[in-house]
Amino acid sequence: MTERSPEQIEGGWMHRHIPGVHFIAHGHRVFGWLLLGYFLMFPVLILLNLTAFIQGFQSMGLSAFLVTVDYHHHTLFLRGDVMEHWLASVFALGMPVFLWWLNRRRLERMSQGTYEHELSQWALAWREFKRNRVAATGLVVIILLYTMAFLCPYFAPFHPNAFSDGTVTKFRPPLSSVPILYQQPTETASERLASLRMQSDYPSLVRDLVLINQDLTDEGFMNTRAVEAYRVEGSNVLATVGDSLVAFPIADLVGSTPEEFEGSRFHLFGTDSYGRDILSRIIYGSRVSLSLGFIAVLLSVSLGTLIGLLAGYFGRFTDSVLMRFVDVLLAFPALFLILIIISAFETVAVPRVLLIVLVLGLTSWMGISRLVRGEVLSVKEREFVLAARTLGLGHTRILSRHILPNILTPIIVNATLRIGGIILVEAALSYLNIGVQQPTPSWGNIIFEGKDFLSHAWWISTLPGFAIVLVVVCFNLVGDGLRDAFDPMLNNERA
Amino acid sequence: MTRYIFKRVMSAIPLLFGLLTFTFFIIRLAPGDPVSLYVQGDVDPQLAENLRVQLGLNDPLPVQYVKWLKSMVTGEMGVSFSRHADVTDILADTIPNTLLLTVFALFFNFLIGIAIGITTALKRGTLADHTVNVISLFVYSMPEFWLGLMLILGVSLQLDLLPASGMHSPMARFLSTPAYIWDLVKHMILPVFVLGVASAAATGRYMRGSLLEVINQDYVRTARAKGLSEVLVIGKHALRNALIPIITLLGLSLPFLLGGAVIVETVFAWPGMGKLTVDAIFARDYPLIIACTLVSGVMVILGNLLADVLYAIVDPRIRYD
Amino acid sequence: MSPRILFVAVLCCGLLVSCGDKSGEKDPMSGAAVVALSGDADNFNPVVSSSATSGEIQGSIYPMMFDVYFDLQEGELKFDPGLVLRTERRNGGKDVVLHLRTDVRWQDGMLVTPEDIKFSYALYGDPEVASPRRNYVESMIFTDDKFDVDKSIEIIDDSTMVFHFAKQYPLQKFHLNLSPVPAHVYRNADRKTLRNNPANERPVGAGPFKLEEWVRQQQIELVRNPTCTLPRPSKLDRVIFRIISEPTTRLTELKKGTVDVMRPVYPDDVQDIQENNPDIRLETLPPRNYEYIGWMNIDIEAYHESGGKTIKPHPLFGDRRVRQALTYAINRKEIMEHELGPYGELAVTDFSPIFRWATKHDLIPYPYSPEKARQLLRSAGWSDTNGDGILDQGGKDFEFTLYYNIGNKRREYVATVVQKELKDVGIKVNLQSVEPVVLFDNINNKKYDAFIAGFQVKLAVDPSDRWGDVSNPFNTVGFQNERISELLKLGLHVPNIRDAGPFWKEVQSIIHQEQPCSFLYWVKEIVGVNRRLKSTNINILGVTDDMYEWEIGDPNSYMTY
Repeated sequence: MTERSPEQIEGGWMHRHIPGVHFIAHGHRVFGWLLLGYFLMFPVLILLNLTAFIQGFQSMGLSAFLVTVDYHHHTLFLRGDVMEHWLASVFALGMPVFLWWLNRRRLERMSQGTYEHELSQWALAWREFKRNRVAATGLVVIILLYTMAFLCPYFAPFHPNAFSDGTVTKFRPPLSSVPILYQQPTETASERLASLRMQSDYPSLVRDLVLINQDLTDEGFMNTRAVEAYRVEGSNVLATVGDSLVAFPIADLVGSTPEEFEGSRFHLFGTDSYGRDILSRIIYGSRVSLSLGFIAVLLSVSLGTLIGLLAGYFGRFTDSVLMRFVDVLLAFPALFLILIIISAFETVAVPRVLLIVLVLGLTSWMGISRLVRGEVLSVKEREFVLAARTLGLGHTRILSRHILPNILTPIIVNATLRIGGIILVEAALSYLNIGVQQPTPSWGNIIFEGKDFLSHAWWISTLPGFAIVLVVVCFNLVGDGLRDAFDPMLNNERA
Repeated sequence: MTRYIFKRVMSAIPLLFGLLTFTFFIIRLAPGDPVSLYVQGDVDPQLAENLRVQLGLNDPLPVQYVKWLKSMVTGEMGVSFSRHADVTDILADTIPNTLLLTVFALFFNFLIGIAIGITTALKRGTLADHTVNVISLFVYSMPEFWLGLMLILGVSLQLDLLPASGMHSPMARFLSTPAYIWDLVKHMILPVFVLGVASAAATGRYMRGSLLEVINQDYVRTARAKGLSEVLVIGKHALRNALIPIITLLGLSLPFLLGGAVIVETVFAWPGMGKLTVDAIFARDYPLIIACTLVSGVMVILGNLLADVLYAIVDPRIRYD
Repeated sequence: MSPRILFVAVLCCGLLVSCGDKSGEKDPMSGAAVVALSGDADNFNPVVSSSATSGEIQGSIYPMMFDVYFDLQEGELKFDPGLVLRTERRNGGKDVVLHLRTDVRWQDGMLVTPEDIKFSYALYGDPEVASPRRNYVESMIFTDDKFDVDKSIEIIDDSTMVFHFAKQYPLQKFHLNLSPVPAHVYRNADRKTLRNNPANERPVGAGPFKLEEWVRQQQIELVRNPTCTLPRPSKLDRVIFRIISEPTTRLTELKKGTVDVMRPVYPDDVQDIQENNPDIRLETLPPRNYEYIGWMNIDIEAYHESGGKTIKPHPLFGDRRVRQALTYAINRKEIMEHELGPYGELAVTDFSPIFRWATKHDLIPYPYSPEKARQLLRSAGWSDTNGDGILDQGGKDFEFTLYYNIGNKRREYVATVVQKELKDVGIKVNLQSVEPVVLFDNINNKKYDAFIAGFQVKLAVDPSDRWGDVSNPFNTVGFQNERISELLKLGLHVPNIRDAGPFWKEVQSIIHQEQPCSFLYWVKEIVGVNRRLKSTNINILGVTDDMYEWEIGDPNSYMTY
């Protein structure tokens, strides 16, 4: 890159405040447009889901306040299904702000002239990685999928567990819509609340919170009836439900004309055997599958790295003890070990997802520790480590500052390649009946749920199957890309 | 070398013992009672109690453990709770079936994997590289049971090309030997594909990396500089050395031979070790679980040993004392 | 072997097969039927076998005391002559005289004698053997709490024997229908390890089929027993049972025509099969299995702490109004229609509709009514005082965990719907699926407050298991009612089965009122049969009942690959 004066780099207001614009202006078109698009996606999503976005913050704020002043009701405030919405709201606001800050910082540094010198190993690798189209595409897909996982309430058209009138709505093929009738609500949440005696110092706040939380977690199919077809006859609506004809008095419906009480639900990916929307389940399932893969790998990589570092660095006795231990664990047949452990602990009051994460994480670190140990053995004889030692630096410092950064590459590559594998194992566990507990969707258990219907409802299993394929392929491509990018020898060869 | 192998084998014995003891306890501490599966519907409600006495499950855990130790020392594997037959007999029936499947799967896995690896390494960065890479990755990324069921529905039901499940046709024993083998081969194609070919992508990428590394070594450059033909360079010099890590991988794949086919065996109704073990775990068939663990533990240890030994043979730089 | 050689070898095999066609010799498949089963047999000794597969197959191998069939018109099990030609009751019904056939031979040529029968009953009754059918001898003569075979069974001559019962009761014939095993095979067998006796793998029977080959986990092959006289050798040359545990694979084999009989076909697959597979006939079995949601009636903590002595009501479900409310709150009809369609029948009590004479038909099933449920819960003292949407009483939320067995999709659906519908009336349900071994163990030992389970009823009416003593493992919900205990005593001691009708009807009224559990539906299982198979009489006794009558329409019709 050539030298530029600060004014040039600063660009205009757009350059400073909208990530991506600067890149587009300076020739990095593809990257720039992607970044810009990604950045702009957030305001659009927030606008489209404004109520949920605001309610998420409201709920979070109210809960935070109430939990400090009124701990007795903590079950009311700390609900897993509500926290999902807090997460979504925070992410929807936080991610664009983070991007904006990053962009600002970069531009500032560029104008100070410090940025240009940052051609570290990482920056070089990143530049190399971006050149690899296939791997870069994989990374884009993964980022989008993780974003979707964080923001699933905004992406999913329906609640993943919502279903009604299963006999009518089950096995709808992709691109089908189900006619529904809107019924008069029987008893609204606020009516039910009106009769309550709130035992709190802040009854009105509690009531607000309860109402907001109910809104957020509402599955949404209340007061609707799905029908195959219907006709109006006198004061009744005659609807076909399954094999029978059911009469609904128009008085029970919302309004009095078909325009008012008729509606429809559109299922892009069809419905499953319950009548639940597959698209929504895949979107919500990504949350479980992707985070499960990520956390399990994080766990196994951290543990494996720690053990490998210790064994490789201290050597001798520590090494042989730790490596014997690794040998013992490696002698366990992995899948059987997982099965036995999950069987042994399944009745313990731990959510199955957590159990699976722990077991997968704790049974797959041995390979990493061997890898790390090998790397440490070769790095620790290098000059800079020896120099650090002669300087009398502590072991912790040497390990964390001098050795770890130099062996990070193979670890990162290995971790990336593993995530895909873990997602596949989750699917396999579902097939062996010890997957994620229904009704929480995960890609594995959606596929498993639909496998018995493959011959007449192929979409149930096939679409989440494609989702898995997509993610695993992408992770592998990124892993390959990272390996290539980090390997300077290969780069030279190509250049 | 012999001494090294002997030493390794001897050190494996306490390892196996630890493995079995761990399995013994954890499976007994797991909730669920092996006899509860019998007590349903039209049976004697007291059966569970009688059975528990018969199977020695009413003894305290330490007593059971001592009894088990005694029987292990004498080589008695016991009798399966759920299948009512000698565990040794069951294993003897099952292991060959699994091996038949997995040996071929492993063979094709490496054959195709190495081919993929060579192609993609030599054509690195080209369209061919990306195409082969992505296609093989696609097949690799499908959940096994899903791929298996899709193949059954597509190839077997719709196209009617191959049998859907099992090892033999029902009346295979009346067939002449070549027809019998042909029958077996037809039954093997789909499961071997899912098991072996699908995972060739992983081997292929391993091979690719290893070959790329070798190609840049000095001796390969020297060979090239000497004007040797590209085929000779790759075939004789590069490939040989690139295969070394693949051989390690092969050794580490050994445990897969007896335990890696759980899902494929279930989907294709193939009577093998994987399904046997999983069934045993779900039935809390303690003797059978222990036996299966023993078998796979031995395979893992043998695999590691074999990998090291093979490594030493192909790579003369490594010496064992 | 190098890949090239292998390839050539495989190719050669293929060529050889296609050239050397099966000419001349009779195709062994031409007189054979193939049945697909989900699980393997455990052994072929009717005294100790417990798998469904063994039960299914043994009936065609071993001699049967009676030729049993279920008369759907009368709703009663009928006993036609088998090994037993006729019976007489003596001594006020306490003694039953059996007149036996003397011309029935085991497949090894030995005669089936009264000694065989007595020997077999001794095995069934021996606690060391731990036979699952030991309760069949429970009402015979016991000395010092041990089954006394010599006092119970008396051999008069080669064709006559007398069974002595401690009392007269209607199920005697039912209990006399245990298959005998050949005494000359098992005489010296160790009883403690009878389950593992190698002879169990080579059964010596006298039925229309004999076992030809058993390849574990793969297939069980039966061939015609040409010497059979009870009733006669099978019409088919052979029947092959293939073990395929994956349902989709099993269905594929049926559709391909490589399997002739397959169960169960799921109701969701019916339409597909009817439209695309005209060569498959679907047969429906009468309802024998029901599913229910068990609500624990007693406080299980107190019960287990006291070693089964303290019986007090369960904090949540001990109140009858609560149990009724739960039934009202669940849309059982919709669940049934969704899961089973026309292959289900709403269950009112645990008395199967097949027992026409015993079933009380005028009980009105609880309709789906969340209003009624809320009202009943309110009257039982449950209301939402803290506004979290969950009912509470005395500071405790109405919350519980519902257990069901893993991998059972129908129950998974039920659980999901129950969770959703109970949430509407303010009850929080957590779902937990567990492995069958764990589930059954905990249900039988009363460890769960709420669970979904199924029950297969005996073909004779006998409610004493489910509603008898709390300690009985099949009384899974710990329900006890004085009047029912009285009625059980009355109903089980009438001389003729039908005399118990009024008692059973009263039991049903009480159960309906008390709702010890929420009964869901009866399942009518569907069996898929290839049309090339004729004269199948697939009935409530099982797919393979009367298998010796099966015939093949077109001998060349078996699909080969």
